[in-house]
Order: sequence, then structure tokens, then C-alpha cells
Amino acid sequence: MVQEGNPLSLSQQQVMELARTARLAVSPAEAAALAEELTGLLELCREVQDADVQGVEPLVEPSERPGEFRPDEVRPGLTQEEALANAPDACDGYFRVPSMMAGAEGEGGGA
Amino acid sequence: MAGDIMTARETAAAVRAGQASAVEITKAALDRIGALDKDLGAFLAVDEAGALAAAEAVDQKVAAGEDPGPLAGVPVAVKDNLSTKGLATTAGSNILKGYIPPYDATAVARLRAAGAVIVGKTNMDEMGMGATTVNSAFQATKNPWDLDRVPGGSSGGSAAAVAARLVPLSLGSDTGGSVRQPAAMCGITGLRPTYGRVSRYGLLALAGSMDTVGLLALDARDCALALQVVAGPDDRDASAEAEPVGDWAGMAGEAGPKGLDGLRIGLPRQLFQEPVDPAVKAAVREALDQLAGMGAQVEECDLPALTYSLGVYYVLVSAEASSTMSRYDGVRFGLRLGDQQGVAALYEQSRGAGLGPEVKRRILLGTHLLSGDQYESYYMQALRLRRVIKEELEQALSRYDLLAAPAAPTTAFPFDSWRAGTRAMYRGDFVALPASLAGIPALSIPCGFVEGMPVGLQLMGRAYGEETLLRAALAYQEAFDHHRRLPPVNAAGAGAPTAGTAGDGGSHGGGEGQ
Repeated sequence: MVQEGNPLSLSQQQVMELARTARLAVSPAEAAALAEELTGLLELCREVQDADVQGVEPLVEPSERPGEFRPDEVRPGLTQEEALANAPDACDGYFRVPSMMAGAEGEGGGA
Repeated sequence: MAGDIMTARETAAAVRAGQASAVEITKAALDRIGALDKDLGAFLAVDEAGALAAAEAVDQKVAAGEDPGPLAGVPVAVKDNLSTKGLATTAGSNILKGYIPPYDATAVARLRAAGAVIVGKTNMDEMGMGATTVNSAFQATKNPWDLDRVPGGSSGGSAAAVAARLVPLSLGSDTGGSVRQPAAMCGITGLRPTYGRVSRYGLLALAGSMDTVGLLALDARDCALALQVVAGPDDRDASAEAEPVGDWAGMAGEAGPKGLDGLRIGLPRQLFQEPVDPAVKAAVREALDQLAGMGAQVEECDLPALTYSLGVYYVLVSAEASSTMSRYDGVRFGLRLGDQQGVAALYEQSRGAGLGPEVKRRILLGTHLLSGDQYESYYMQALRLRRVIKEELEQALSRYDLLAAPAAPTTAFPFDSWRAGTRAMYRGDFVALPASLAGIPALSIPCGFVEGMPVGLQLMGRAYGEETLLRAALAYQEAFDHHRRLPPVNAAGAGAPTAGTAGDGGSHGGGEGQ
């Protein structure tokens, strides 16, 4: 059984909270199935905890060369029209989304 | 429609010499796709008009005496996570259905500039998450060697398209084996270049610290030719490093048998263990004996840290994906739902409906692994182990020129023996993961068959050591012709044997579908 508080397993409730953090709509039924699958996956990930690697410097990327910057020169990029061509909703040259403030009225313009 | 086709280099040579028309070659490729792809499902989109226009431009250059480029008239298929200007790019996901990129990925632009003809986009596991191409939101791709089996993945469409001789060359991407494993399962040659060798500009990211753009081709010579075209720094991608690009096209054209005198090849025991299928292991060992017969020094070695590869990879790929996938939010492109209920509902409903089950699993797992209590014990611990794995591989590659392993633990398995989201499914990736974590180049070449299904030999080399890898593969392919064998979909009518290809799933002891 999945237990609350056991770091090696995830409950349906925890999955619902993670889904909220990740901005992912998940139904309670989906969350129950996911809890079981993720607990299995977590077991696979758990093996990293057994290794004694104290003092080893973490390696984020395989290449540790410093990135090189190109000269900061203005050059042509996407036009506004191209940048907005795939937008589900656009208005006056902006991406348009609903109001950011919960319960707020208004047009929801991006500006 | 069936039968063999010219390699990329033969095609380009004929077009450049005016002996063949790019338009005719393109039409023949489109005809093959039309005849065979309804059964294979390798393509998500075929760009007939764009391909014919590109081919026409190549023919005009040849007629005008201009250089049409090293890949003149070569039909190429592109994995659907590489941006193609004006041609739908979905990464196999409903959230990007109908998305039309306003620009080309650098690898695509370089292929076009070299005279290649982009014929279409190939199917893949959604966002690159999977190893079967079953995780596509749109269709399943079949293995040309047995239509009841998976082609591998996530570049399964690109692998099947080359294996079935629809095109001689395709682009894929390899984060945790997604070029090498489908190449092995489809009996073709697949190259994952060094991390930093090929620009990722325009590649839809899965895990930025491991993603690479890779090549799938009929043989190592064509991989060498194509690598020279796509490799090199790019001021649109800071991770594409300024390492010199070799004369690999020249190498591709070299004639004659090649020896491997003095080449030292190490076999990490950890990559020949369970769940590697005994028959796959035997085929790979036989190929290594053959390399030894050609002059290579082959010996076993122990690389104990590699046993952590699977756990380290799934921690890192999930953590990175949970961040990367946040760009799919229903605001700037892609599916949008729920915009009557405020912006939070817009995000949640667009992502909930647009992203498939495997993507959701990894986003949620990654979100958990990066959360306060878990960050140190999973994510930071995985990064420390990553350094240990990389250093162990580097030390081994100071003693050996190459490391060898199976490219996949089993041959392609039947669709009905596979189940999503199981640990057995993830475990199937483990032989590919060390090279991914260390950023070193690796390739898969066909090295034999088990019950009619192809087996891949994986070779790994030093960072930026593609030339050594390709030379070894090229020598093997000069001496042995597994890569020339045609799958049943092409050999049809030639009386090709089909025995042994039908669903004997019981012999695949690799844990898949448990």
C-alpha cells in the first residue's frame, strides 16, 4: 500500500499536488494510476541514493568548457507576424491570455 | 517499389555528374513512400511539393554548372522534433498538432544547403520519451523486418524509413539511445555524435544536457558524409563547440578493405549482463571476434559505475523534462483549452489534454525529484554520479580506443508484449545510457540476426572521436554485409525467407512487457 510520508512512494493526494505545481490537469482516477506508476519509477531512481559519492563535484553538462558568446550585433530575426503566427490567440501584436489576476474582470490583454 | 536503393553518396555522385535527375530520384522516393508507408507508418507528413521544388532547384544548379552540394538530390527524412520551416512539426504530440515552425533547425538548414531534399517528417515517441515509437499521439510505426514488431524509438520513424529503403538517410535525435536503439532494431547504421558536435538550434528539447541530433543511414560511409554536412559550431547554439570538422566525406569515398591493426576495444562487462538477451549477446560477441580477426585487440573490462546509469539517467531526464516541458503552456503556440476560466485553468487544461501519459509521468516525477526534500538526495546525487560515470568512461577510453556493447538488450519485440510505464520498459535503455550521460559519441551497426530480426553492435568513442568510430564501423561493413540485407517489405517478390519473423515473443527474455 502507498503510505503518506514514505519518501519512496507517492500517494494519489501527493500526485494531485505535484500536478497542481506542474500546472497539469489530472483527474483523481488518473492520479491514482499515476501514483502507482510513479512509485515504481521512483524505485528505479532510488538506486542513486545508495552510492557513496560524497565530495564529488556535481556534473550538470558533459562539456565543462565555458560557453562562447557571439558578437552582440543586431541581425534580422523573426518578424512579429512570424512570431505570432502560431499563437492560439493574439491581439494588436501581443499574445493574448485571460486575466492573470484570479477573479479580475477585464479584457485580459497581454500588456 | 520494392528492392534496394542507392546510398546517399551514390545518389549525390550521380546527380552531381548529371547522370541522374534529382527530380526523378525524389519522385521515386515519393513513390516508394506512397506504396509502402501505409503499412509502415514511418511518416507523419510528406512534403511532396516542397521536395519536388527543392529537387528542381538542384537540377537547375547542375544544368547551370554550379556546385549543387555534397548531398545533391539525396532524399532525406527528418524526425518530427526538428523544426522545418513551413512544414508541420509536432514531436509526436497533440499539444503541437498543427504547429508550423517559422524557421529551420540548423541541422535541417545545413542539409538543405548541401543539396539534400527533405521529403517529410517522421514519427516518434511523444517529445522523444520512449523507445518504441508507440508513444506517438498519432500512429504506431511498424518494424520493416516484421510488421508485428516495434521499430524501437524514439527515432522509430526515421529508422524504419531508412530500413525500408524509402530514403537512404534520415535525421534523428538521441537523448538516451533514441538513434542507436531504433537503428539496431531496424538493421541500419545510427550515429549519436559527441555532445556539442552538432547544433541543437531548432531541436525541440527533451533534456538539454543530453540531447543530440543524430544520423540514421544505410551504412557508416553515409553517416560520415552527412556528419560533415551537419557538424560544426553555430552562433545560434552556444553548446555547439568550435571543434574542427574532419574530411569525413573523403573518408566515405575511400576504397578498399581496411584493417583494424592495433585498435584497442574494451568490453565493459556491466553492459553485457541481464537484461541483455543471451542470443543478442552471442551475436555481438561474434561480431567482436570478427573485429579481433581483423586486427583489433578486444578485451573485457570492468566499469562498475555504469550500473548506476539507469537510475542517474531517469532522475536527470525527468528533472530536466519537467522544466523543459513548461514551455508547452497554450500561450504562444499549440493547443489551448480552458481560456474562459482564467490563466491557471488555461495552463492546466491545455497541458492536461495536449500531453500524453508518458510525458505526464516524467513531468510529475521530475517535479517531485526537484522538490525541496528530494532535490539533494536524488538530483544532486545523480549529478555527482554522472561525474563518476563520465570519469570512469574517460579512463577506460585512455586505455582503449573504443568501447563496445550491444546497442539494445533485445531485438525488436512484438507490439503486444509491450506495456507502457513499466520498469521493464525503462530498463531496456540501459546499454545506451552511459554514452548519453558522458556526452561521448556512439554508433550502432548491424552485426547479425536473431530469428530474422537485426542485432546492433554499439561502439563508443572519445569525445570528438567520431572519426575512429566511423573508421571501425566502415572496416566492419567492408568485411561483412549485414547492413546490406533487405527487410521483407523490400525483398517481397524476391522470395525472401520470412520464417522466424513471426511472433515468437517467448524467446525474448529481456524483461520487456513484464
